[in-house]
Amino acid sequence: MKVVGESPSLRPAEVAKVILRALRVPWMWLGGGMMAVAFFSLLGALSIYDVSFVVPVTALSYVAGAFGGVVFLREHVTMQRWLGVLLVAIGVTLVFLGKN
Amino acid sequence: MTRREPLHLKTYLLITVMVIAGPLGNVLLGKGMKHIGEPAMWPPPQLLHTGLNIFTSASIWLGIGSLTTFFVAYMLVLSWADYSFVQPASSLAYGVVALLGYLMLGERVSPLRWAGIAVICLGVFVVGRTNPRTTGQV
Repeated sequence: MKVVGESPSLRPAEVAKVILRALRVPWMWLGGGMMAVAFFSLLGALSIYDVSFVVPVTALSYVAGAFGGVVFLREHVTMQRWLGVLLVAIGVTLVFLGKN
Repeated sequence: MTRREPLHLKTYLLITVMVIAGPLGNVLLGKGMKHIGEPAMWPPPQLLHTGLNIFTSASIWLGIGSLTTFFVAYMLVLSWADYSFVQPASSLAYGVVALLGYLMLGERVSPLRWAGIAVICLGVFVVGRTNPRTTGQV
Protein backbone atom coordinates (compact mmCIF):
# COMPACT_ATOMS: atom_id res chain seq x y z
CA MET A 1 0.00 0.00 0.00
CA LYS A 2 2.99 2.33 0.42
CA VAL A 3 3.55 1.91 -3.35
CA VAL A 4 -0.14 2.59 -4.09
CA GLY A 5 -0.20 5.71 -1.89
CA GLU A 6 -2.88 7.06 0.42
CA SER A 7 -6.36 8.05 -0.67
CA PRO A 8 -6.82 11.86 -0.78
CA SER A 9 -10.31 11.48 0.69
CA LEU A 10 -12.88 8.87 1.70
CA ARG A 11 -15.27 9.65 -1.13
CA PRO A 12 -16.32 6.35 -2.76
CA ALA A 13 -14.87 7.41 -6.14
CA GLU A 14 -11.44 8.11 -4.59
CA VAL A 15 -11.50 4.88 -2.57
CA ALA A 16 -12.43 2.94 -5.73
CA LYS A 17 -9.44 4.50 -7.56
CA VAL A 18 -7.11 3.42 -4.73
CA ILE A 19 -8.51 -0.11 -4.82
CA LEU A 20 -8.07 -0.31 -8.62
CA ARG A 21 -4.48 0.98 -8.32
CA ALA A 22 -3.83 -1.57 -5.58
CA LEU A 23 -5.06 -4.44 -7.77
CA ARG A 24 -2.34 -3.60 -10.32
CA VAL A 25 0.46 -4.04 -7.76
CA PRO A 26 1.71 -7.66 -7.64
CA TRP A 27 2.63 -7.35 -3.94
CA MET A 28 -1.08 -6.81 -3.14
CA TRP A 29 -1.98 -10.15 -4.70
CA LEU A 30 0.79 -11.88 -2.76
CA GLY A 31 -0.34 -10.15 0.44
CA GLY A 32 -3.99 -11.01 -0.22
CA GLY A 33 -3.10 -14.62 -0.94
CA MET A 34 -1.15 -14.90 2.29
CA MET A 35 -4.03 -13.36 4.24
CA ALA A 36 -6.33 -15.99 2.71
CA VAL A 37 -3.87 -18.71 3.83
CA ALA A 38 -3.83 -17.11 7.29
CA PHE A 39 -7.64 -17.13 7.47
CA PHE A 40 -7.94 -20.81 6.54
CA SER A 41 -5.07 -21.68 8.92
CA LEU A 42 -7.02 -19.86 11.65
CA LEU A 43 -10.08 -21.98 10.87
CA GLY A 44 -7.97 -25.14 11.04
CA ALA A 45 -6.44 -24.12 14.37
CA LEU A 46 -9.88 -23.22 15.78
CA SER A 47 -11.15 -26.71 14.93
CA ILE A 48 -8.51 -28.20 17.26
CA TYR A 49 -7.69 -25.64 19.96
CA ASP A 50 -9.63 -23.22 22.18
CA VAL A 51 -10.31 -19.77 20.74
CA SER A 52 -8.95 -18.26 24.00
CA PHE A 53 -5.63 -19.94 23.11
CA VAL A 54 -5.54 -19.40 19.33
CA VAL A 55 -6.46 -15.70 19.18
CA PRO A 56 -3.92 -14.47 21.78
CA VAL A 57 -1.23 -16.50 20.00
CA THR A 58 -2.06 -14.65 16.76
CA ALA A 59 -0.67 -11.57 18.55
CA LEU A 60 2.68 -12.98 17.37
CA SER A 61 1.82 -11.07 14.20
CA TYR A 62 3.03 -7.95 16.06
CA VAL A 63 6.46 -9.62 16.45
CA ALA A 64 6.55 -10.83 12.85
CA GLY A 65 5.31 -7.43 11.66
CA ALA A 66 8.08 -5.57 13.51
CA PHE A 67 10.83 -7.79 12.04
CA GLY A 68 9.19 -7.74 8.60
CA GLY A 69 8.90 -3.95 8.71
CA VAL A 70 12.62 -3.59 9.48
CA VAL A 71 13.82 -6.16 6.94
CA PHE A 72 11.46 -5.49 4.01
CA LEU A 73 10.24 -1.92 4.44
CA ARG A 74 13.24 -0.32 6.15
CA GLU A 75 11.08 0.94 8.99
CA HIS A 76 12.74 2.35 12.05
CA VAL A 77 11.44 0.54 15.10
CA THR A 78 12.03 2.52 18.29
CA MET A 79 13.07 0.98 21.61
CA GLN A 80 9.57 1.63 22.94
CA ARG A 81 8.02 -0.35 20.11
CA TRP A 82 10.54 -3.19 20.60
CA LEU A 83 9.55 -3.17 24.29
CA GLY A 84 5.89 -3.51 23.30
CA VAL A 85 6.77 -6.34 20.91
CA LEU A 86 8.80 -8.06 23.65
CA LEU A 87 5.83 -7.81 26.04
CA VAL A 88 3.59 -9.38 23.39
CA ALA A 89 6.12 -12.25 22.95
CA ILE A 90 6.26 -12.80 26.74
CA GLY A 91 2.46 -12.76 26.89
CA VAL A 92 2.18 -15.35 24.11
CA THR A 93 4.72 -17.55 25.92
CA LEU A 94 2.59 -17.38 29.08
CA VAL A 95 -0.52 -18.29 27.06
CA PHE A 96 1.35 -21.34 25.66
CA LEU A 97 2.47 -22.35 29.16
CA GLY A 98 -1.10 -21.90 30.44
CA LYS A 99 -2.53 -24.25 27.82
CA ASN A 100 -4.69 -26.96 29.37
CA MET B 1 -16.33 22.52 21.90
CA THR B 2 -19.77 21.29 20.79
CA ARG B 3 -18.21 19.89 17.56
CA ARG B 4 -15.80 17.69 19.53
CA GLU B 5 -18.54 15.93 21.51
CA PRO B 6 -20.14 14.07 18.56
CA LEU B 7 -16.59 13.13 17.45
CA HIS B 8 -15.80 11.64 20.87
CA LEU B 9 -19.14 9.81 20.92
CA LYS B 10 -18.60 8.39 17.40
CA THR B 11 -15.07 7.34 18.30
CA TYR B 12 -16.01 5.53 21.52
CA LEU B 13 -19.03 3.94 19.85
CA LEU B 14 -16.96 2.51 17.00
CA ILE B 15 -14.19 1.32 19.31
CA THR B 16 -16.86 -0.44 21.39
CA VAL B 17 -18.17 -2.07 18.20
CA MET B 18 -14.60 -3.15 17.33
CA VAL B 19 -13.88 -4.59 20.76
CA ILE B 20 -17.11 -6.63 20.67
CA ALA B 21 -17.47 -7.55 16.98
CA GLY B 22 -13.85 -8.70 16.50
CA PRO B 23 -13.77 -11.18 19.39
CA LEU B 24 -17.36 -12.26 18.72
CA GLY B 25 -16.42 -13.03 15.13
CA ASN B 26 -13.47 -15.18 16.24
CA VAL B 27 -15.58 -17.01 18.83
CA LEU B 28 -18.29 -17.72 16.24
CA LEU B 29 -15.64 -19.08 13.86
CA GLY B 30 -14.38 -21.24 16.73
CA LYS B 31 -17.90 -22.47 17.44
CA GLY B 32 -18.42 -23.34 13.79
CA MET B 33 -15.10 -25.15 13.44
CA LYS B 34 -15.58 -27.13 16.68
CA HIS B 35 -18.90 -28.33 15.29
CA ILE B 36 -17.33 -29.30 11.95
CA GLY B 37 -14.33 -30.95 13.56
CA GLU B 38 -10.75 -31.25 12.34
CA PRO B 39 -10.71 -30.49 8.58
CA ALA B 40 -9.63 -33.31 6.27
CA MET B 41 -7.24 -32.02 3.60
CA TRP B 42 -6.58 -35.25 1.66
CA PRO B 43 -7.76 -36.82 -0.64
CA PRO B 44 -9.06 -33.85 -2.71
CA PRO B 45 -12.74 -34.93 -2.54
CA GLN B 46 -12.41 -34.77 1.27
CA LEU B 47 -11.03 -31.22 0.97
CA LEU B 48 -14.07 -30.27 -1.12
CA HIS B 49 -16.34 -31.86 1.50
CA THR B 50 -14.54 -29.87 4.22
CA GLY B 51 -14.94 -26.67 2.20
CA LEU B 52 -18.66 -27.30 1.77
CA ASN B 53 -19.05 -27.95 5.52
CA ILE B 54 -17.26 -24.71 6.32
CA PHE B 55 -19.19 -22.52 3.90
CA THR B 56 -22.60 -23.97 4.75
CA SER B 57 -22.14 -23.35 8.47
CA ALA B 58 -24.30 -20.55 9.91
CA SER B 59 -21.76 -19.92 12.71
CA ILE B 60 -18.97 -19.46 10.16
CA TRP B 61 -21.03 -16.94 8.15
CA LEU B 62 -22.08 -15.09 11.30
CA GLY B 63 -18.42 -15.03 12.33
CA ILE B 64 -17.37 -13.64 8.93
CA GLY B 65 -20.15 -11.04 9.21
CA SER B 66 -19.00 -10.02 12.68
CA LEU B 67 -15.35 -9.77 11.57
CA THR B 68 -16.43 -7.67 8.56
CA THR B 69 -18.31 -5.36 10.95
CA PHE B 70 -15.12 -5.09 13.04
CA PHE B 71 -13.07 -4.27 9.94
CA VAL B 72 -15.50 -1.61 8.70
CA ALA B 73 -15.66 0.01 12.17
CA TYR B 74 -11.83 -0.07 12.33
CA MET B 75 -11.43 1.59 8.93
CA LEU B 76 -14.10 4.21 9.72
CA VAL B 77 -12.67 5.23 13.08
CA LEU B 78 -9.14 5.43 11.64
CA SER B 79 -10.39 7.94 9.07
CA TRP B 80 -10.63 10.58 11.84
CA ALA B 81 -9.02 9.21 15.00
CA ASP B 82 -5.32 8.71 15.58
CA TYR B 83 -3.98 5.17 15.16
CA SER B 84 -2.10 5.72 18.42
CA PHE B 85 -5.46 6.15 20.17
CA VAL B 86 -7.41 3.38 18.45
CA GLN B 87 -4.76 0.63 18.62
CA PRO B 88 -4.27 0.61 22.41
CA ALA B 89 -8.04 0.75 22.95
CA SER B 90 -8.48 -2.26 20.66
CA SER B 91 -5.91 -4.23 22.71
CA LEU B 92 -8.79 -4.97 25.09
CA ALA B 93 -10.14 -7.32 22.42
CA TYR B 94 -7.73 -10.07 23.53
CA GLY B 95 -9.32 -10.09 26.98
CA VAL B 96 -12.83 -10.02 25.48
CA VAL B 97 -11.99 -13.09 23.33
CA ALA B 98 -11.05 -15.10 26.41
CA LEU B 99 -14.17 -13.94 28.26
CA LEU B 100 -16.47 -14.80 25.35
CA GLY B 101 -14.67 -18.14 24.92
CA TYR B 102 -15.50 -18.92 28.54
CA LEU B 103 -19.11 -17.69 28.35
CA MET B 104 -20.11 -18.95 24.89
CA LEU B 105 -17.93 -22.02 24.39
CA GLY B 106 -17.36 -23.14 27.98
CA GLU B 107 -13.56 -22.89 27.59
CA ARG B 108 -11.49 -23.15 30.74
CA VAL B 109 -9.00 -20.30 30.88
CA SER B 110 -6.19 -20.89 33.37
CA PRO B 111 -4.80 -18.04 35.54
CA LEU B 112 -1.51 -18.28 33.61
CA ARG B 113 -3.35 -17.83 30.32
CA TRP B 114 -5.20 -14.80 31.76
CA ALA B 115 -1.83 -13.41 32.86
CA GLY B 116 -0.45 -13.96 29.35
CA ILE B 117 -3.44 -12.19 27.80
CA ALA B 118 -2.98 -9.24 30.19
CA VAL B 119 0.71 -8.97 29.20
CA ILE B 120 -0.25 -9.13 25.49
CA CYS B 121 -2.78 -6.30 26.05
CA LEU B 122 -0.03 -4.25 27.73
CA GLY B 123 2.38 -4.96 24.88
CA VAL B 124 -0.17 -3.96 22.23
CA PHE B 125 -0.93 -0.81 24.25
CA VAL B 126 2.78 0.12 24.35
CA VAL B 127 3.16 -0.50 20.59
CA GLY B 128 0.09 1.63 19.90
CA ARG B 129 1.57 4.58 21.78
CA THR B 130 4.59 4.80 19.44
CA ASN B 131 4.91 7.04 16.38
CA PRO B 132 3.02 5.23 13.62
CA ARG B 133 5.21 6.53 10.79
CA THR B 134 9.00 6.21 10.62
CA THR B 135 9.58 6.22 6.85
CA GLY B 136 9.07 8.90 4.17
CA GLN B 137 6.76 8.67 1.15
CA VAL B 138 7.78 5.96 -1.38
